[in-house]
Amino acid sequence: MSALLEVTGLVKRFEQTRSLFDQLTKKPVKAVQAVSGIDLTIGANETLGLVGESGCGKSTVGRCILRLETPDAGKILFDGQDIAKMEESALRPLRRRLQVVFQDPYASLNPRRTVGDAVGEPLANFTGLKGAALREEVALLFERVGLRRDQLDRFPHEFSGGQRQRIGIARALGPKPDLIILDEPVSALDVSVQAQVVNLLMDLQDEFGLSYLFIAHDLAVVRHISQRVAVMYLGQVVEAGPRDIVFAQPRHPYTQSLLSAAPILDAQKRRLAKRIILGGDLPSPSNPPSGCRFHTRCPYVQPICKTVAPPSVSDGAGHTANCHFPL
Amino acid sequence: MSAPKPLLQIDGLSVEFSARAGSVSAVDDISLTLHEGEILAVVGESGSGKSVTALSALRLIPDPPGRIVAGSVSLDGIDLATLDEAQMRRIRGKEMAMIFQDPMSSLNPILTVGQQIGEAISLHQGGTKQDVRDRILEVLELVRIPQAELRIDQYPHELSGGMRQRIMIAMALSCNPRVLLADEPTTALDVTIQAQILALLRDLRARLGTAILLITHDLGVVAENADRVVVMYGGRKVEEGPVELLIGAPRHPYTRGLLGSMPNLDQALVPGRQGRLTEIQGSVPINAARLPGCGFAARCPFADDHCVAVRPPFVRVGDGHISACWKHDELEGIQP
Ligand SMILES: Nc1ncnc2c1ncn2[C@@H]1O[C@H](COP(=O)(O)OP(=O)(O)OP(=O)(O)O)[C@@H](O)[C@H]1O
Ligand SMILES: Nc1ncnc2c1ncn2[C@@H]1O[C@H](COP(=O)(O)OP(=O)(O)OP(=O)(O)O)[C@@H](O)[C@H]1O
Ligand code: SF4
Ligand SMILES: [Mg+2]
Ligand SMILES: [Mg+2]
Repeated sequence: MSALLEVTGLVKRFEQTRSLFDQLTKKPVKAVQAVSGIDLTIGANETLGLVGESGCGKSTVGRCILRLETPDAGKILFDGQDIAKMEESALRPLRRRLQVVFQDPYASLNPRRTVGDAVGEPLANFTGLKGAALREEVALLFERVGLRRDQLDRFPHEFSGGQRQRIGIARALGPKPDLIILDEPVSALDVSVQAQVVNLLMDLQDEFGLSYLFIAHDLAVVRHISQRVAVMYLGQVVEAGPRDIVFAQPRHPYTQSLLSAAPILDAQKRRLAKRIILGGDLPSPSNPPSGCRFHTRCPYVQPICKTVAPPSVSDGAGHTANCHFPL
Repeated sequence: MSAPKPLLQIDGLSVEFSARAGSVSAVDDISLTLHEGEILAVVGESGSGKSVTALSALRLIPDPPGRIVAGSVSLDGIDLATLDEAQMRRIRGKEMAMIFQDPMSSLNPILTVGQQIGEAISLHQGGTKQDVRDRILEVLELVRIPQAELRIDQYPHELSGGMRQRIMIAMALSCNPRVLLADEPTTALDVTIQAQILALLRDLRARLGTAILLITHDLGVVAENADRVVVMYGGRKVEEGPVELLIGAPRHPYTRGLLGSMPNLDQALVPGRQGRLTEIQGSVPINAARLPGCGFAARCPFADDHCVAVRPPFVRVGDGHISACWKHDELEGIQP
């Protein structure tokens, strides 16, 4: 079976906005390389969890796949077609199949439109449904995500955070997509509402055969929902593999430190936990460290790490890590 | 231990919002005391009134539609309701600062990072342009923003979600406030940066005696950082106590439910399969605080008719530990 999504060598740079003075004096443009050549695959009906340091490029990867940004290099094969540089007209039929749910349910809904309209809009755009038929379809979507059809004509501020996130999911679900990019979909929710939304996402995935790219900071949630996991650091994927292996036996020192930093509820377990504190200089995305990008903070750093980019080491069963001295 | 000094006192606070279908009770009869050098966590269901409580303390509730209908807030013994807006402005940012929950709508999209942080610094501390810039760079480095020299001249949309959140933290810390109201300060951060930010807050508390109200839904963060915890449900306080007791031996069914829905890194999962989480079934009823009985009764596995009919009072269940539940005895000794 071929993958639904296959990203190879993806690169995305942002140029810094310069003041008029800097432009006139021809000061060199500083570019932030947000994504520096990453590979990712997502199979049909699969969830890939994407984790990594704040600012390492996770949202940018998601936005490139959605073609809200145009990548500077690389391929994005979606169901066999390369959409990385595709023209908008050719892209249009594919847009229906790629949907998104953002972190912030508040900011992503227009406060002056009813939530029924918000959910109906993409549906009308992609399916041509109108009038009573459209309204009925929206009502069914509402019921599917655990809202009531009598809530259709209400405005976003009348809903709680968890309900707004359900509205966002209904909106993404409407056009019957194959892949949904979930960019921190549960970060703003309390744990009991988070449990409801995560369970709902898993049910919908089974029911509709969806694939998810699930971007999140909460490692325990990622572990619950993903079949495979990719770990990013400073624009690159440093480790990827089946969830069970990556969480039980991380091979990259960054993954290890990330797992060790997760807060622990139980006081006894906390006392026994070995925490790895990352010291060292924070690297800059416009001028990344030579060799291994993690070398300025890695507890196991050796001279070769500072000069030579580490190779990708594979166990042959889909677990890879980019490190000279994998754990 | 000498008795810590109460710094921020919220007493019997009730806040309502007017809506098309009548008024909504967002916060009902909330009392809490934040002591000097203390980290008090506030947890609770989305919409339970955590942010409204913090915003009320700074008198930042949008009126209309919001209105403080009862209660008082005092800082250092001074009732804030007696101050005029000019006096209040001097308190905000300098005495009492807030890290707002939603960075995107709280940051001004047309001002650079440096301009926004600099505003508070010039207002409260003054100094030359260079002094202000130096202080901005200092706080940016404090909150672990890489390339502070580049970021200071960027606009919010050029930053990642977690960077924006750290800009909000930098703004709140820029004038060394005595009271810090931190509303979900680390939701957009990965766990390593989160750990660094929380260590920074604990350090401020230790060095300057900063009192911190930490609103968060991450119970692991609560367990590792708070001294005491307040649990809110449907606009009311339902449980309060020292962190070890509240997390190790909760005496309110809602707190227990929260702990039970937490995903756990150690939990056994079927290899290759997704793992369902434990939910609290249902959702908070509108105006739960106005129900005659317990606001949690409709969802509570312990509830009986009495719970639905009569509101449970606060009962002392341990040292500094109170619970508003008729069945607090039944929860004693059972593991969360
Ligand atoms: N529109 C933009 N203009 C300029 N720089 C940008 C833009 N969008 C993103 N960046 C930069 O790209 C880098 C990666 O940002 P991105 O939002 O992808 O990170 P992230 O991994 O999603 O982080 P977080 O976990 O904090 O959300 C950052 O250095 C950011 O400042
Ligand atoms: N500006 C407003 N207009 C109308 N209602 C409001 C407003 N702000 C808050 N509310 C209502 O007040 C109640 C409490 O909201 P609050 O934001 O304090 O919840 P919270 O506990 O902080 O939730 P979350 O965890 O989602 O941040 C909610 O029912 C909300 O709908
Ligand atoms: S290659 Fe070296 S610096 Fe990089 S992670 Fe491995 S040990 Fe650390
Ligand atoms: Mg992001
Ligand atoms: Mg809030």
